[in-house]
Amino acid sequence: MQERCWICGSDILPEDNFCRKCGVELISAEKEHRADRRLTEANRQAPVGIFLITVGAIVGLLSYFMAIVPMLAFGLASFLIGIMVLYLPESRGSIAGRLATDSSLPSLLNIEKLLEDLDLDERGIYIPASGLGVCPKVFVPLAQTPATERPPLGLGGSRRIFVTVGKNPEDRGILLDAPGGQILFALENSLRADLAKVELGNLGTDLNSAFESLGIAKVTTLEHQDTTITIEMKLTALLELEERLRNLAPRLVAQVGTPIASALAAAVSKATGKYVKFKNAVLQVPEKKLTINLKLSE
Amino acid sequence: MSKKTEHRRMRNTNTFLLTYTALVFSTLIVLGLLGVDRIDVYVALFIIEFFVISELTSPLGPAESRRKTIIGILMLAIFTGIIVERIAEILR
Repeated sequence: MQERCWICGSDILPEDNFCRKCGVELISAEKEHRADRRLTEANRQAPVGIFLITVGAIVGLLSYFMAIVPMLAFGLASFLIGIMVLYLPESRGSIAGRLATDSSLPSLLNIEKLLEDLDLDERGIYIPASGLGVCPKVFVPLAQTPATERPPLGLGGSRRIFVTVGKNPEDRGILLDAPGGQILFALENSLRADLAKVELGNLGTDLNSAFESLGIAKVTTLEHQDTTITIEMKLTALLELEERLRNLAPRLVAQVGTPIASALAAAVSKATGKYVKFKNAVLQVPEKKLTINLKLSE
Repeated sequence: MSKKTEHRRMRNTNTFLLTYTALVFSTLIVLGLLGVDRIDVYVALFIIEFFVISELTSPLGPAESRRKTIIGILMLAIFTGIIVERIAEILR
């Protein structure tokens, strides 16, 4: 991994994704690992292809000399499939998935830039909402004050970005549409139910079935302990977006959440009718497992 | 078509390879049980199945599509050879 920026030569820290001086994107360990993974994926198919070609060639030749046509056909089939396994590269996600990632990334990076420029370090608060297809908004406060802890519920209908929720100058923040708003909408459509009317006890089961039917994740589990909710899920799509956002938009990931994490936070906020503060979302890439921790407040 | 069904129809190389393998080996078993002893019948069916599965699992990514097209051209050449040979056999 590089220790100096490859453009301006200034020193960089191991955790940096971008140069602090010139702003250029750095070659991170994650990217190097990704290249290694691609190589591993290609190598994984090679033994299967070679095995099929060898079996096909041996069986084909022997049965040709022995004039056994079905066995000759078996050898040919095996040989043909072996060549295809070697020649066709393993897919890395569907075109639709890649397009979804590529088209949603710029808008998410804009939120990241907004958080960075305004120097907002506080976690986003999901304001409860109700109604089919209505998504809770996220309020990211400038500072933690009694007023910003519980922003008014009426903010959900506001079309402004910069809002003031109290009398003091620090009772301000930005109001964002949740990045997972459209996923939440799709979840509710899939369930044909307003999540605000769903009991918290049934939320885990409903989310599991909705995420599975949308093809985003399977085995979604929800654990509720006092004011903390932990959700675990195994992703079947959008893994690349989750990975790229962790690299490119660390503030967004930590404070507001990625689209999936945001959809979950919004769903919990709707179902409980409480403010939900985003705590963290940990992605384990090899297991495709996403663990999200949320904090509820009245 | 429901969203669930749409998701199940994963359009990628792995689906293509798995479906094609299943179909080819099913064909082998069926033709073997029927006692077909002409290799060109087997090969022609393998080729037709290739094109059918290609259509059902498309679109693939640009790199995969390009490579699959090359395999398709080779298959088509072999298929044309088999047909020409059959026609010649009838005309003789």
